[in-house]
Amino acid sequence: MAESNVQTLTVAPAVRSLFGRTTMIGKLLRIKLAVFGIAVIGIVTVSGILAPVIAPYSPEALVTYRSEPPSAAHWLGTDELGRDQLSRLLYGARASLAVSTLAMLFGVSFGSALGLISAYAGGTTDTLIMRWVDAIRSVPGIVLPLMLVMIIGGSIYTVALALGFNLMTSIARLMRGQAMAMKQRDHILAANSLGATGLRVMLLHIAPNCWSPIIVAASLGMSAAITAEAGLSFLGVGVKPPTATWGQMLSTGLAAIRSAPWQVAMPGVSIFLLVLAFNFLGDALRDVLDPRMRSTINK
Amino acid sequence: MLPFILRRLLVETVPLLFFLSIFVFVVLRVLPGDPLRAIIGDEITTLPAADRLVLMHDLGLDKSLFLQYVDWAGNLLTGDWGRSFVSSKPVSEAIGERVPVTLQLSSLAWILSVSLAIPIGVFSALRRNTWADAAVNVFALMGVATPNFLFGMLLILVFAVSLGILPTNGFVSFAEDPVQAVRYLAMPVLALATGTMASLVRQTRSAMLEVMNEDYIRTAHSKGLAPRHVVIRHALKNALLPVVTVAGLQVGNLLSGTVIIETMFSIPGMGRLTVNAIYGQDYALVQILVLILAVAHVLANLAADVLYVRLDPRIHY
Amino acid sequence: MADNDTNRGWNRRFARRSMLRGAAFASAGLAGAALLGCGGGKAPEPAGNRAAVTGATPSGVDPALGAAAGAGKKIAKGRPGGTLRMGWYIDDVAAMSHMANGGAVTPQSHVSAHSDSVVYGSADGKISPMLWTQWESSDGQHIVAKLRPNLKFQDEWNSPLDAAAVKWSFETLRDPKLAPRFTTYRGLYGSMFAPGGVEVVDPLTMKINLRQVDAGFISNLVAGLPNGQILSQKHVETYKDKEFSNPRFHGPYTVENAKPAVGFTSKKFAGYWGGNEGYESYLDAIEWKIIIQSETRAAALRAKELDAAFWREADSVVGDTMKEKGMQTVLYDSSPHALNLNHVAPPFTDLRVRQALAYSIDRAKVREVAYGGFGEEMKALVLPFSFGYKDSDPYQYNPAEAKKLLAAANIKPKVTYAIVGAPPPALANKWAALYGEMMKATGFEVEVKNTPNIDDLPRETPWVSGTTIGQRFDAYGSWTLRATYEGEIGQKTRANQPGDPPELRKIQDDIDALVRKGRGTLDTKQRESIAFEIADMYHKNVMGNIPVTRTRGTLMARENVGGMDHPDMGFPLGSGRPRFLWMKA
Repeated sequence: MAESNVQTLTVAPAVRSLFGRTTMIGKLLRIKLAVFGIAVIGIVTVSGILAPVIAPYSPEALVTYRSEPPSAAHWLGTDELGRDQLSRLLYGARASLAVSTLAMLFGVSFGSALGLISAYAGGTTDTLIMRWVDAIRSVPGIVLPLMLVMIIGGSIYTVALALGFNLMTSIARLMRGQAMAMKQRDHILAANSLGATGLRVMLLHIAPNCWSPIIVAASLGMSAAITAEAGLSFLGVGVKPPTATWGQMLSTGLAAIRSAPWQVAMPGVSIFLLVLAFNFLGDALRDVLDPRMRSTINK
Repeated sequence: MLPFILRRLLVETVPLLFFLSIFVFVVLRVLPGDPLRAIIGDEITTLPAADRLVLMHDLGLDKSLFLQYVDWAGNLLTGDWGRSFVSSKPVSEAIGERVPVTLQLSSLAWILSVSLAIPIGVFSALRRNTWADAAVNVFALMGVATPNFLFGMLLILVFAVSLGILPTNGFVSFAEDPVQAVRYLAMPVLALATGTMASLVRQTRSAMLEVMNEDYIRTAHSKGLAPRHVVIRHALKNALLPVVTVAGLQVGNLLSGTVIIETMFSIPGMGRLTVNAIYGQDYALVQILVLILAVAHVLANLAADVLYVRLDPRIHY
Repeated sequence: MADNDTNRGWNRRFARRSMLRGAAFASAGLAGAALLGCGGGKAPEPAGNRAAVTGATPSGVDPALGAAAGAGKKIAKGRPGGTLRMGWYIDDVAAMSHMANGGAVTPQSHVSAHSDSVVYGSADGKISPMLWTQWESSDGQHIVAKLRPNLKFQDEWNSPLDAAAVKWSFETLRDPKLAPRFTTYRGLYGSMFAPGGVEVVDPLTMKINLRQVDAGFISNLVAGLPNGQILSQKHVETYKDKEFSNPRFHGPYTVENAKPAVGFTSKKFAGYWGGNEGYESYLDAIEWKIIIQSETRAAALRAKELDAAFWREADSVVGDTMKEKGMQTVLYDSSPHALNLNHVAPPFTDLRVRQALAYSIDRAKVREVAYGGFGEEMKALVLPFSFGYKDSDPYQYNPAEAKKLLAAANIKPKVTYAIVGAPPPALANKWAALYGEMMKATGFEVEVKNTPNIDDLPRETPWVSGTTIGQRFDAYGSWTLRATYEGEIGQKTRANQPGDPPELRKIQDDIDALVRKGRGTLDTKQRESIAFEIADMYHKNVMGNIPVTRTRGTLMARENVGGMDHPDMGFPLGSGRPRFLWMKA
């Protein structure tokens, strides 16, 4: 008895500090749509990770050798090559999340690095970096990824790289803006006057205070990456088959939209829900992290 | 206002295009791929070496990368945009015939999304937390989360194949026949505009909500002004400021969307040309197309900024 | 999506080269027929006779009817008049017939609307006269040919299409300055001609001088060479660059209102064959509408915006649309489909590994899955009516044997499956999924790679790739062409480069020697046995290609279209020739 009391005593504050009303997660959990978003993302992530365990078939195995409607053996039917749709959907969760997560990580890490350097160095370096960033940013969305993937070939990594490239530019702008504002703050000025080196100031004093909008942008960037991947697949330059991604399943299923609508419906609904989830999460994060920013969802 | 525009053009747009031109030029040439393949196809493997030299020389591809760029940029500035590798048509001509098409498609989509999104967003904000608001939100979210090619296909199946009231594909210019133009453009414009409309609705709604909570609106209400007057004269004007910026930024998304929508609906515009040029490794065409798309995007943003300055009484030029 | 294969860059590249070769060697088969003197009423020349390549016209035979008549079938005449709205799948350049490759199977269908080849190939494997009324060669190297009188170009001056025009066109093929238009022809055919390749004997007679004896030359003319490429010099020189968007040929229809990415109209040419009514085509006009997305094209056909539409490959959209009420479908033979492998890269240098691969391929499954049940299984790399056709691939699906061979070789082969094309066509994606699984099933370790062009992969890569024959074809099928290359363009086959395993070089050298021998052999029977010998050597040793299936292009038309039952409609060299089509009242 005593033991369990001790446990409650020690665990409770930890839980409270994570999920309490004033913490970020706590606040998020009080936004219904955020909970929905987190739940969807969670389910997709878990099913992606567990795909090898829970998928009834190999995603690449041609089980029925032709398109078959949903049945007891194939809950979601099979695609035009006779591959089990459910298995492909589960593995596709993995690929689609990998593409969007890698794109996000690439975009955020390089983007923030560029933004920080630009903001901190100022002068010519700043101008040069930002001119490049603006130049790349000025090209409408899908065109550069299309060009890059077309030239370097389509795989999870190249598609992620190409999509991350776009995200990188907007993150760089955002980070620079944040860091510039931060630079003028007292504690940074103080650190500078105390002789802290550039890198130190940048990493220890500026960066940690700039994350809020970046996290929001990252979440929205992931949703954009998911739709962009579908677009690239439609144009024929997505992740190379036979790797299943949702975008690819959707765009190849389109050919059979009349005769085998299940081939369109399942990846379509999955993409829809996941994009929605990231949007909800992004919006909620914005509300929680930066109350001064506009909320776009119902609180 | 004019100095503002000029400064933006000279200080931002021009260097931006300069940097972009280098970027695209270098990327296209440094990454693997034989430009002659675009011209000759797989026969490149059997092309006699002497012929290869002749072709490389004709196309100026035997020079150093730097000289190639200087040549190309120089020609570009003097109005010679070069020739398509694939069709050997002048690039200006190849692109010129596509510009009006994409311009009509994307500007219509833009107008449609802005003109519908703002009233819907305002309406939704005023009816906050009602079923109407919820419905608007649901539709807006569907617009954001549905890939536009799927939406386009569904439109074709419903309106062209099942109902037979709209043509499945193609393009008629407004200059030729406005009525037909509307029929042909209805579905592509809708498919293209949905995403933009959805995010603008959400943007407008939240901007309105925020403004409605401001003190001066409460003051206006308490002064006994008609609610309609308050909404239009006070709230909307301020709420529109951020919406204008977002609407400018959405032009990029629309241009990007034409790549897919023009393919789907067989519309002979720039988006489809871009896809073809990229697939055909027609670098001569790609590098100019990318620049033109960027110019369109940048100018739209500039226009939005100008409008912003106009609307915002705090900024003077 | 499904139709991404059918358009854009990939297709254009594909069309230019591979289909050209495909058609060229398919037509090589017709050479045999030519030797039998098919065109004229003449009796076949005895084997070994010096009059090796001859043909002549029975006067007044409508080419649209003649071939079928020759096959003993009576074809009803169509109703003249009307406009056919045709859906077309290639964007831009390749849709313009003068840019499209004359040999490419489906582009052929509108090339043939706008211009004639000098000789006509029909479904029964015969070569009949077209622009040439007769041709004759005593040695297989010098050919005297006579043009039909009163031929006119469609240009504004109605310039005569005479021997001088043919000379100018053929010789212009060799001018590198005219790239891109003629490059393909320059590479493939230009080199066939000796310098001063065409001599004008009189306005209607010309003498063609080849570099070497080439028994298959005439058959190449059926589709490969100057179809659509005999041009009016005056028109080309007057319009220069503008000529691309304003081409003028000499066929039954004139290209009008060509708009990039939109389409063009084929309008009946009143001066066709001098206005001789016997050679008229039925339709007043064909409106070609470019709709690159397969699904959209099908929707347009359903919505009655189109009367007919082409698909390059039968896909799920085709399968779906075929079932529509009143829909008529012609599935025409197109090039064979094969699994291509880099046999000079280890582990494929081991014959047992190549054989194991060949035993792993289940042709029935490929036909069923990749082609939706359309097409036929193939055990040869040329089409059944082609010269030198022999069902000789000894390796039939046998996974147990494949496993046994790999065990015997004590190799766990690691290979790369290359998806070729940028963007990879939908069909290539299907192949990848299908072959990948089949190979894994017999013990291959497969890594999938995507490459714009197969040549971009390092030479030592042990790649395997599904292909439509011609794309990577360098063995017996194209032997007439290949022999022409040798020593001249310096093209080396994949198996014949220094550093390759000597035993493979030996086999390839033997094949090369046979190719050379075959090309110089005018006797049909002898030549055929050489072709069989090459095929056997090729298949036995799995030299680079494993024949799998025969693919199908598709033309679908609604019930208001007549002429779909013409026998030549389903023939690759005349695939869906629109001149056979007519509109029902």
